[in-house]
Amino acid sequence: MDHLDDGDLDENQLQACFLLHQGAPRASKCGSQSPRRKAGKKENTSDVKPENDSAGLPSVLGEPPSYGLLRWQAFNAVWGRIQKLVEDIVEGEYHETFVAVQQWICNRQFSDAQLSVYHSARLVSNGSIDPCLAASWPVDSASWGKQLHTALVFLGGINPSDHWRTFNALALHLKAHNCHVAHLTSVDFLFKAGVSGPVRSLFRQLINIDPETTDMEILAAWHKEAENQGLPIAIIIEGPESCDAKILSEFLVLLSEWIAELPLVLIMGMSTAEDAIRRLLPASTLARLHLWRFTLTEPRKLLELIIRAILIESFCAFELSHEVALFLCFYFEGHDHSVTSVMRSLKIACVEHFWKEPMSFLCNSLLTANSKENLEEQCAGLPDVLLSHVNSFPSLKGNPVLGGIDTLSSERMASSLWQLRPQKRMWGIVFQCLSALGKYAGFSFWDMLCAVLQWVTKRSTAHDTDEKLGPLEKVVSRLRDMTGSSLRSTLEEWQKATVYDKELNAEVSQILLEMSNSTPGEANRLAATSLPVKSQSLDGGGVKTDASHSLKPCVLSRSALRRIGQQRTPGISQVGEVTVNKRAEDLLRRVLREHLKPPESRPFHEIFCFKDVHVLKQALAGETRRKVHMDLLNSQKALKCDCCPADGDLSSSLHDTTLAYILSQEYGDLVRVHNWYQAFAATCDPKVQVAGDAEQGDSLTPRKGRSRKSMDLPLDGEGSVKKKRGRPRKSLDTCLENGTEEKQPEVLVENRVQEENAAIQARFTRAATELQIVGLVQMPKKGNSETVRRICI
Amino acid sequence: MVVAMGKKGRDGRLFQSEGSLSKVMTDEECRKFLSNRFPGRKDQVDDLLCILGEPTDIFPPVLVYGSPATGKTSIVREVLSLLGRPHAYVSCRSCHSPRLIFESVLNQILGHVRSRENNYSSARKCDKLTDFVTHMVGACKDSGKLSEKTIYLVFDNVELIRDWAASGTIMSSLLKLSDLTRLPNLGLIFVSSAGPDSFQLATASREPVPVFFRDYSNEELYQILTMRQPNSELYSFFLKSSLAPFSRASRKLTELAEGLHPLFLKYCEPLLSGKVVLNDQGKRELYKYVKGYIQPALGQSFSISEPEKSRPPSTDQELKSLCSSRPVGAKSGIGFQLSLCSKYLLLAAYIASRNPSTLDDSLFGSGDGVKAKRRRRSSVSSMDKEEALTQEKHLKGPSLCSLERLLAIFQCIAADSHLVSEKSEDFQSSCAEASERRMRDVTSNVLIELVSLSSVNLVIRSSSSPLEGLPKFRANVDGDFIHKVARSINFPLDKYLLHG
Repeated sequence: MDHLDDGDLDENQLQACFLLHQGAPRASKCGSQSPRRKAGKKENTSDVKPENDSAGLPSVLGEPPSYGLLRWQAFNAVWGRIQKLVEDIVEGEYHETFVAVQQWICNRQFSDAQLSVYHSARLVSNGSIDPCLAASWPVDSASWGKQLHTALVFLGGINPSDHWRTFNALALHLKAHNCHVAHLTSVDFLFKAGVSGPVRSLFRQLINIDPETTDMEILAAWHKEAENQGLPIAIIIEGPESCDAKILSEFLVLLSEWIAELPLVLIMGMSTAEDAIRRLLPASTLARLHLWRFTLTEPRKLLELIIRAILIESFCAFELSHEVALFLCFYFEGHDHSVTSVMRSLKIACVEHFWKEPMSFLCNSLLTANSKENLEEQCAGLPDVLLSHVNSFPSLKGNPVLGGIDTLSSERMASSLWQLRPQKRMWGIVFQCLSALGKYAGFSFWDMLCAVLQWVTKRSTAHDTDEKLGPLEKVVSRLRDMTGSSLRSTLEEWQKATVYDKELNAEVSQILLEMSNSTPGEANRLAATSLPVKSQSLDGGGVKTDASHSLKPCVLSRSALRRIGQQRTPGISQVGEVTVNKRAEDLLRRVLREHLKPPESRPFHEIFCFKDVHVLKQALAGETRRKVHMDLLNSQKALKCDCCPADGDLSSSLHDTTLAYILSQEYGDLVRVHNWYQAFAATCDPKVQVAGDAEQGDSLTPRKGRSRKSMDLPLDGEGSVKKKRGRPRKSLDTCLENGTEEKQPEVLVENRVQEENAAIQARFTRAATELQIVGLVQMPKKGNSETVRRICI
Repeated sequence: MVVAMGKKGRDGRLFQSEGSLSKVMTDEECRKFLSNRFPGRKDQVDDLLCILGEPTDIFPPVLVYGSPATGKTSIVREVLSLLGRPHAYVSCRSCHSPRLIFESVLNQILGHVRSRENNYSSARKCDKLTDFVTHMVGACKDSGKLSEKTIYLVFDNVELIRDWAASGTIMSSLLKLSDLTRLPNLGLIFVSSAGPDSFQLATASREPVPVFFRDYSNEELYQILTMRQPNSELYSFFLKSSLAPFSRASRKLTELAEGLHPLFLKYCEPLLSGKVVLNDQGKRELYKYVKGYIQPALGQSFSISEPEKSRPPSTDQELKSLCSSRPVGAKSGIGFQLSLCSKYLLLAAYIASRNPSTLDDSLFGSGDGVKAKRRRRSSVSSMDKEEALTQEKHLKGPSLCSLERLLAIFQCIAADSHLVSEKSEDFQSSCAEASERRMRDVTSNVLIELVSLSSVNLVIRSSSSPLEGLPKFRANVDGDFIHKVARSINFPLDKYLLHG
């Protein structure tokens, strides 16, 4: 982070910093954007950095080097767990549809075979054709007007990043069940290549050859071979909406011409509604398809399952702070429903955490430890460096129990960490209870989750305002006016959810029992269900009785008051229900306050909790090119260095990329590479500048292609750029006018400069390439090799 | 008996099958057999047989044309194979380039079979017409078919050649192939759904002899459709009630068969359930019953079947699964999920492409009074003018809008709707609030989502104009759809649209 401030922009130093990713996110807000983006990207994509495999993560804070390896292992363990969790859920959800598709292919083949037998039998039995003639007839006369069986797999949403994964899984599944599978994407259906594009891809995938011609006879010949005989060929077209409609329709017609000879089956993944197929294909093509509907789990529901599993139900020894969780929820809701984005964001969070937090290696022990003692052992062996790091945790500062260095003991830490598992479980249980209630109130999982997270976040910032439940108030208050039956089913769901917590379970059962006592008709049934649970819970929880006793008086008094208030409503059951409603509500309120605590409120949470929303936000929501553009142009402002002249003139101390980009602003759409380079060299090296000036003739006629003004530039930025036009432009203009000299720069420059020139050329090339990677400049095209196209923003 | 319809199957071994056919029919037998098999096609069969003549006769180029699914291909191929004439068949549909046609013809004449051993290559490589002519002569000599017997080449779907590059030359050179190759006994048959006038042939080319396959009449359709049904009696009753309205919509046999099939299943329903017995009374009841379904069935362009859930796929099962096919659009809602941001983008694109850009200021600008100021007393003529303008606008359809305008509107409506939702319900709004705040600044995610919207054709991206260099966008959704989207996020769309 310091590199930005010290003003010494040594190249190597910058590079090292970016690779290590040490830049603090807050400081870099104003920093140069492009290299940081690259660093971020690298992290997103790389699964395992090979050099880290053995050495572990680079050490932080001077920790012993072996701890880098430990953190690396911890990351692998935790991330592996999360990944497996997500993949299992996705696989489980899709499995049913995959099996259905595979079964369908089987059935189609079978029924087609039956039909053809039926038809040929009819031909012969009709007597109008003699059998020997019938035999010589092509069999396909039985399959007249046959349609191509087409499975429309409705994906329920536009998540191109997920679709590829889904269809790959489907292809694997079908391959495992004796199908030939070809997986075509919209890239195969380009107008340029015509219908031979998809056919060629088909051959490549099925036959594994790259044929000269794309004659379907090749496929037929291949399929006749012994080992392929009889196996159906499934052709998966992913994203037909984005294919070229004409080519797609031609291809489908072509396939449908061959169904007599080849057992072809088509699978199309539709990301929009069924109407799309009608818009996409002409009626004549559509008439050749027999469409079948398959539906995959909706992406939203899938996401819900994943989020529920990760945030609520499972224990991964890695927590997201509520702020982060809330951000992720909004992000998924607002932008991207895809599983890929979930995986990506979780991975980024994971990587960031294990990268930066030296104590994070404990997560692994937390995940694997069987007992508290195990953990204690781990904590006891901490080196001093890490101990002092632990002491600097902000979570301990506010906590009087665990004060300074002297009182800190490894047991405390271990017990605090050990508590995480049950706490997480409780939080899962409470949330389940809440969402069971939310279901009756008509709130979706997402609404509930967001509300809970918001409430919890608010609560953690403003202390002791516990009385109000914020957005949850609305949900909880529903309990008050619930009718008997829905209350009962809610309570029953609570009972199911709280099986793992005896104390809570007993209380719920108690309420249920009371309720059934008040309505005698169903008393027997309920007693039968709740009693065993209760008796089981009683022997375990000695504390439980105390809790319920301490609760009872206040409950009774309140319910008594209520009863007095509702004298007018007759009937015992009514009164009984009111009590039960109230009791349930009180229970929920108490439990909510007790257990819905954010993980970041616990001591030592720095070890397992990822809190840095900012990093995640930056990694997920990439800035547009505009931001890069602005940062490159206004780098002086951000750096506040002394080396640059205050008047905004260009100086040689500017970063090469920045310099090159600022210089390219002088041009219109097209930048002549040579002129650009000249200007660059002139600024970098005054000697060249001198040479350029000497060359320079006289007039400065304004160029035709005067630079386009960038529209989004704020005024101050614009000004600074404008001012910069001074010397460099002169040399540019000269180069433009003296067309002959510019072809041979080496003639202009003296010999001794030539060597330095090579270095400058290299720097220039790198700068230009970086600009190209960022997407601000397009490299020269075939026809016009002298210019690059500047992308105007 | 089965009438071959729309089937354009192929058989690579046609040439060898010449000898293997146990019995070669005489002209007379063939005539009888085919006119039996293809109702209403007696004249055409006669014509063809006439032109064919004896196996050694010289055969002029013939163009067989008529609407799709009128039996052209089937009859031509059956005549040739029944008479045992050596022939090669090429469909321009699966052979989608001249090279494929040439090679396919040669393969068939030479009896070449593609296999793994020869790396699935064809017998001869010929890219150009000249190669083809040379190879053709060689191939006929090699295979010993240069006897006096005529070899027939059947080119199917030649109307497709018109779309190819240099279509004129290919077509006319195919027509005079026997002249080019100097093989007089080369019979050329072209099958096309387009008439002879639609081929722009070179001036000196030879005009083919036309054989026209007219559309089937109602009686013939009736005859053909009944023939293929297992229970022809029941089906003929059914056709009496439903064929007439259907055949007015389409005379294409394949389409008719497809369209009538679900209706027939409906027709059978009361019979299967035992409500109706098949007697005169029952037929009348069935007639009344099915009457109500004809009109909706006519409007239905396609249907999607549900895959059967339970295992044994008997025909019964299939019937049931076909019966349950849902009509299009029965589902409410938009049918798939869009993220919040995509929805706003879509709305923005819709607004941008429906409204003129001059209106943006009054809609999204800070001053609300602009709109009120514009209101003026309207005379009859100005009202007429306005109406004409509105109509013109509707006829023109949605217009393109630049990326900047689209994003500007997107930002405006995302910000606006935040205010709206605050009023409606505080529980959800408090959740939505933060997300919308996030949405207001355009990040690269928004652009990515715009790209994915355009990849599924909800937003159409026009080729970027060479002058401005930025792509333009247009919403490609209808009013119904966009209103559903708007409703799902409580967005007051009508407020933003100029003409409803």
